[in-house]
Amino acid sequence: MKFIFFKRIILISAFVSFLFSCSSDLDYEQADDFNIQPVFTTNLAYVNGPATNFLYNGVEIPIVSVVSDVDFLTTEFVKDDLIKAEMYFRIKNTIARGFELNIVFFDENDAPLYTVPLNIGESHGTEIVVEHTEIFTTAKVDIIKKTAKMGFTVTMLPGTPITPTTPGRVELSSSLTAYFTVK
Amino acid sequence: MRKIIILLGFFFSFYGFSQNKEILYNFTPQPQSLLINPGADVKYKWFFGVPLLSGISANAGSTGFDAYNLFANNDVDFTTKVKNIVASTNSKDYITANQQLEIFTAGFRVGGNESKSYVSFGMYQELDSFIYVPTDYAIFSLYGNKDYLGKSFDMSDLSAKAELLYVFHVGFNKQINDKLTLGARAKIYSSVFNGTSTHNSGYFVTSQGKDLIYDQVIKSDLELNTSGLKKYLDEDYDGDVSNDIKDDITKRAFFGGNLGVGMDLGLTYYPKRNIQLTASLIDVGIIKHSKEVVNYTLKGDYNFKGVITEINSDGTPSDAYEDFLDAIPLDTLYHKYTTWRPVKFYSSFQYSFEEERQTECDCATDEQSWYRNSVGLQFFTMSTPKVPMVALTAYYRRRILEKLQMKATYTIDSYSYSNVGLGLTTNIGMFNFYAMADNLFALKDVSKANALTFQIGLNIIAGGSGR
Repeated sequence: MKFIFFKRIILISAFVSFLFSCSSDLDYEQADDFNIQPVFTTNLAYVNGPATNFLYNGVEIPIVSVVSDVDFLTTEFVKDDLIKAEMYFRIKNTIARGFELNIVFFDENDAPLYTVPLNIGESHGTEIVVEHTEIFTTAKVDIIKKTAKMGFTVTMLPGTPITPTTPGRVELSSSLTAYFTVK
Repeated sequence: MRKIIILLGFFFSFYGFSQNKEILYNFTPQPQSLLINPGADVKYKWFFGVPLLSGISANAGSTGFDAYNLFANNDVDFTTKVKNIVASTNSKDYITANQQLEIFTAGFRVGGNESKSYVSFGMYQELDSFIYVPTDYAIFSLYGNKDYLGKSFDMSDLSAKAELLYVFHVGFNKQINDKLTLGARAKIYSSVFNGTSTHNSGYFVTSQGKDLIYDQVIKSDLELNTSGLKKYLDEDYDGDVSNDIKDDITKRAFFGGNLGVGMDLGLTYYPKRNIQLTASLIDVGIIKHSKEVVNYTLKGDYNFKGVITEINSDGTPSDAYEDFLDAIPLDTLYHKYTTWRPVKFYSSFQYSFEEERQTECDCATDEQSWYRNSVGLQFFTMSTPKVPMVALTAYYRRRILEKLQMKATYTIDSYSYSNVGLGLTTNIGMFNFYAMADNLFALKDVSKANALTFQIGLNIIAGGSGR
């Protein structure tokens, strides 16, 4: 009886000791080195309108300006992790009138930080396409991080006045590509 | 942010496993086998489990990757390892963990010495989590969308649930005749914490546009239901988390949580004396969550054209960015919800041989003879938020000594094709001790194991036997 008892204990102990097994060398601290570089791209602004949009009570407005909140640029994620940004602008003009487009970056106190000036020529029957990519590398990326509003100002260049019968339209398409490094 | 950290902590603080208890199933010398087949052919005059020691089991597993893939101490950069795992897994891969602890358990024969009816009851605690690899969310976070134009990021890839609950149960087992034993068990669940986000859908796609630079569409139908976590999710919460969790568990374990009911059913059938068939259905039950409930939803759809999309007639821009935020709001709600327990189904076929007459019997067992060896096949399936988990086990059972039994298993499942397990149970006097572990080959390097299970326990049994 005693023998059986000991035999049993030995068997079970052997089994249990088998459970204390080995593991390869694991290093959990390396999780601190986690570092990813996602790149997100999105539409930024899109405006499309006929020449008559530049009229007020039938009379041409020399300067048209719109401002929009872009306060998502001042979020912690952008502040901490944005390392580079590219803004792409494409303007198509079929109006027989040239204009200057100023894209202005404002901080939260409405003070202008930066301006991208673009000259769009008048159309002579064919579509004028102007493309521009503004790159904000490490040295300039802080401008983006401080930008709370963006303004788009159209200033008419000298030429034939726009009337309710002026044909053609202007289209602004733009996108933002943001490069992050998240640690 | 705090909420996210708490929720992530809740989901990931314990790793998962498969709930298949292939060694314990139908290992009838163990009264605990009644918990996975109330109709198991178990015999005893009475038994009780040593409180807190009668049944301890833990099970963790992942498909598609293991701890070594992620944390190996080698020259591969950690970020690269994560990227490799994301590349080599898909949203059908999962991490699962389950842990059970018997608080108390006992059973006795009812109806006198000749009776073949048994009652067993008890309480156990269970921690259960099931997390699918959120593949598309991971790709989006790791790489962004710039290099994935045209790809539809699938929002249903987010599918996870986790729960801590206490279960009270009482079961009845009756040998109808020499061939058939039936059993049933009623359960009351008391859920302490629950987080469930398993019915998500939607997509996000960015593709090259024509007039717009991109066509960017988001359609979102995401929902996370939580119960028992309300105070931790409150932004103003500044309590002591570990103390509060202990308090919550104490208060809710004994019927103080969100309650539910469930049932187990099982049978054992001998078409011939040495051929045995069994089947059981475990945890057919629901829990109603109505206390401390917080739900989060992110529902809506939007075609994102940019922050300015049109100029109003008064010359001001419409605030498309606000429209976007309004179109897919993050809502916090407080409505009741119901969860189903993961239903488990077991079935087995067993052939026994090498019959022996019982020679020494100092107990009132009704067993006339027993077989030294048995071989069998078991089938297991469990409901999950996606495709049911399935496993097939071949096993060999041997009575090594009169009161020392062994069961060796070989299991094929979604974790591996080389899972060998071993269980031993012994009676020393009235003490019954058992230990079981699977994936024994993986134990030589646990970091490379996709799944591990172990169970140990200590009972006191009178008049026990096992066929």
